[in-house]
Amino acid sequence: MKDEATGPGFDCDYPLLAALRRDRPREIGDFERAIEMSRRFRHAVVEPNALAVDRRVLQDPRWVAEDVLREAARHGFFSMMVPRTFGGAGFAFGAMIVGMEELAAGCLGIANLVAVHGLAFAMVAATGDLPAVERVSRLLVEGEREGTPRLLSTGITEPSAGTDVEDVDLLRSAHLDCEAQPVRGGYRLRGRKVFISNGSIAHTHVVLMPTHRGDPVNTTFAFLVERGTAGFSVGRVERKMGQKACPAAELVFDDCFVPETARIGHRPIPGRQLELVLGATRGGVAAWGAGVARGAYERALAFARSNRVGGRWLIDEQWVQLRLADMLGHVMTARSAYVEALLSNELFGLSSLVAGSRVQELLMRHLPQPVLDSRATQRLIGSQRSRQRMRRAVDELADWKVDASSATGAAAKVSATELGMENCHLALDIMGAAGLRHDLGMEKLYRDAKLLTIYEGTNQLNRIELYKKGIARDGRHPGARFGSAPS
Amino acid sequence: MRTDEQVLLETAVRRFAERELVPHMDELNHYPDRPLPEGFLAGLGELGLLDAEPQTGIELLASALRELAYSAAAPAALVFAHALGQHLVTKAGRNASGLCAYPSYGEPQAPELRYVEDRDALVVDGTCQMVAGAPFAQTLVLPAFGAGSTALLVLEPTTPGLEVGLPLLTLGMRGCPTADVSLSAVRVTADRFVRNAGPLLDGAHALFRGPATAIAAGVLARSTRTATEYARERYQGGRNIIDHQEVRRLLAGMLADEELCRSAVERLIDGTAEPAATELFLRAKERAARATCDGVQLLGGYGYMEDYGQERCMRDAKQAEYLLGRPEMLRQQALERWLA
Repeated sequence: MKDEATGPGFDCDYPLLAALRRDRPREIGDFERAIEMSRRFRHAVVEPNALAVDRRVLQDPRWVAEDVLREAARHGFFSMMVPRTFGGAGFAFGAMIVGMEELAAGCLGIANLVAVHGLAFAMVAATGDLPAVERVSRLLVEGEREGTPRLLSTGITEPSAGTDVEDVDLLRSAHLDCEAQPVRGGYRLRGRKVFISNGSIAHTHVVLMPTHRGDPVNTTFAFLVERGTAGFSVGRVERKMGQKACPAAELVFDDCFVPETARIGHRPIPGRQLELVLGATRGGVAAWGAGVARGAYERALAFARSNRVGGRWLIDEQWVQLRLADMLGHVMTARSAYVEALLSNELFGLSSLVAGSRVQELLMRHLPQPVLDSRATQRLIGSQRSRQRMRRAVDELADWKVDASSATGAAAKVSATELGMENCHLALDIMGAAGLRHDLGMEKLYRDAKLLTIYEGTNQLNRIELYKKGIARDGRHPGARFGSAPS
Repeated sequence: MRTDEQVLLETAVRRFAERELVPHMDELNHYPDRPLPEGFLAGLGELGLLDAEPQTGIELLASALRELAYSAAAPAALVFAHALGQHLVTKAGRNASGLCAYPSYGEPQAPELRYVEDRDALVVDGTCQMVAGAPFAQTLVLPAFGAGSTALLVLEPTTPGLEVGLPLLTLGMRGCPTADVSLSAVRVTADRFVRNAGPLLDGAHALFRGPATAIAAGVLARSTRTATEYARERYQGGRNIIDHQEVRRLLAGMLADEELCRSAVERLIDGTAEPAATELFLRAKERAARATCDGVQLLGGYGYMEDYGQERCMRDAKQAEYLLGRPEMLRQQALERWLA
C-alpha cells in the first residue's frame, strides 16, 4: 500500500488499519485487497461513466447502467462478501465497506448500485437462517459467474413510515401499509414499499412485513420474494435529486402469495436483529460519507492546482489552502469514524457472528476450495447442528455488544455523512461557477451526497439511536427513556 | 413597508408564475434535456421584466425576483442576468437590443476574457464561462481584461469569431439557459466596448446584491412553507412530526434564515448595511443554501425526490449562493476596500 521511497500518499495511508495489522492480519489483508480492487474499478469503470450515467438517468429514470453492472460482476463485487463455503470470495464484511470509500469518491450512485445488496445480505445473515444465507449467496455467486448479476434489494420503508420502521419504539405507533397475512401453506403479502434501492432491477427482494399489523414489533419478519412472483410488481421508479445510477423503486404487493419457506429466521426482525444489521450497514454509509468527503477534496484540490483567478493560481491563495486543509481533516475524521464502526462490527456485531470461532474462521479461510465444496463439508455446514449454532449465536450475543455495534454505526453514519456534505459545500466555494456545471462533476457529488443523511435512517434517527445505545443504555439516570419530555 | 407599486407587481408576477411556470415545472427542471415551455420568455416580457430600458427600480426588481423565485428560481436568474447586463449597458452609454446575457457567477475583478489594444479597437480571446441567458440572448455583456484594466464588451451573438456554446446542465436554476461564450481574435470596435469599466462593474455588482439575495430569499420561503406543511401532515412515532422538538428546531432555523434574507434584501437596497453589506449578502445567501438542505432533511426520502420540489429548492439556493462570484473572493475584496 505504501511506497517506502516517496513516503505514504494520503490516499493510501490508513494509520488505524496499519496499527491493527499485527493483531488482525486476516481482516487487514482483506481490507487492502478490497481497496486495490475498488481503486481499479473506480479508475477503469466508475469515473469514465459516472457523468454519462447520471445524465442518462436524468432523462429516463428507468434506464439502468447494465454495462457498469456487468463490469462490477467481472471485478467480483457481488461475491466478495459471500463465504467461501458458498462459493464466494470470503472477504471480511468490513473489506467491502473500506472498498466503498474508494467507489464513493468516484461516484456515489454507482457505489450504491454495486453494493446496496450488502444490506439485504446482512439482513438475511442476521436472521441466523443458514439455508437462507446459502440461497442468497448462491444467487450472488452464480449471477456474477454468468455475467448477469442477480441483485438483492431490501424492502423496509413504506409510504407513511420511513423512520418509524427502523426503530422499535417508533414502530409501535407506525402507520404501516404492509402486512403478511398467514394463510395455509404460506403468507399473502399486501401493501407497498417505497424508495427501495435497486428495487426495479433486483432478482430477489428481502422484504420486512408484520404478520399482524397491530403488533409489528413482535410479528415483523423478513420474506424473500423473487421477481416474477404472482401478485408482486414494481411500481413507479423515483425521480431523485442524485445517486441516479441506483434506481429507487416502489414495490407493490397485491395478494402476493409466498410459501412458508419464504419467511426467514425464527425471531422477529425488530430489536436486536435489525440493530445488528444497521450497526453493520450504517458503517458502510459512513464509508460512503468519507468517500464523498474525499471526492470533494480531490476535485477541489485538482481545480485549485490547475486554475487561475485574476492571474493568480487558486492554490496560492491562503483561504484556499486553509479550506483544503479543513477538507483533508474532514476526510481523516470521517475515515476514522467508519473504520471504528466497522471494527466494532467485526469485534462485537454481525460480522463477529458470521465469522464464527477463531478456529472456524481459519479453516474457512485456508481450506482448499475443493475441500470446502466437497459433499462432506457441505453436509456439515448444512447440518442441523450448524443451523442451531448460527441461530444461537444471534440469540446469545451479549446486549452490550449489540449496543456497541449499533452506537458506533450510528455515530459514524451521522459524523461521516455530515462531513461529506460539508466538504461538498467547501469544494463548491473553491470552484465557484465551475463547480455548478454538470460536466465537471462537483455539482453531481453535492446532489448525491445529500441522500446519505436520509437513508439507512435519517441522521435524526441515528442520533436517537446513539442517545439510546450510547448514553441512556444503563437506564439508571434521568433521561433513560428517549423523548419522554413533551415538545 | 411595501409600496402599492410593489404589491401590484408582486401580484402580477405571482399570477404569471402560477399560470405559466408552475404547470411547466418539469420542463424547467429538465432543461436543456427538454425544451423550455412555450411562451416562457414572452410572459416574462409582458411583465416588463425583460424590457430594454427597465421601468422598475432596484427595489421593484428585487420584489419581482423574490416572488418569481418563490415559484421557480430559473426565470428569476434569467431576469437577474438580463437586468444586470442591461443596467451596465445603460450606465456605459451604449445600446442593447432584446434579451441581455451576462456571466452572473463571475467576479468582476477577474474576467476570463483577455484583450489587446489595436488602435481604437480591442482584439479579444478566451472563454467566458456560465453566461446566463446566452443561448437566447440578442446582446452579450461581457467583461474582459487587458492593459491593466477591465473593459466591458457589448456584443451580438452573430459577431464574427464569437461562439455561444451548447446550453449547460447546471446544479440549479436549470430553466435559465446558460452557456459558455468563446471569442477567438474577435475585433471589437469602439462603439461596442467601454474602457476602464472596473468601477462601473463594481458599482453594478454592489447594487445587484439586493436582487441576488431576493432570489435566495424567495427559494428559501418556498422551502420553509413546503417543510412546514409536510411537518403538519406527516406522522412519526405516533404524532405529527411538527410535534417533535428536533423538527421544530430545524423549522425555527429555517424561519430565522428566511427573516435574515428578507431583512438583508431591504438593507442592501436602502444602503444601510455598509460597511458590512458584502458580508451580510454572503451570509444571507449561505444561510439560504444551508436552510434548504434542512428543508430536504425535514421531508426525508420525499424531500430527495422531485415531487415536493424541495430538492429543487436545495439546488436552486446553492446555485444562488454563487451569484456575483465566489463568496470568499468577494469577502476578501470587500474587506480590502474597507481597510483602504
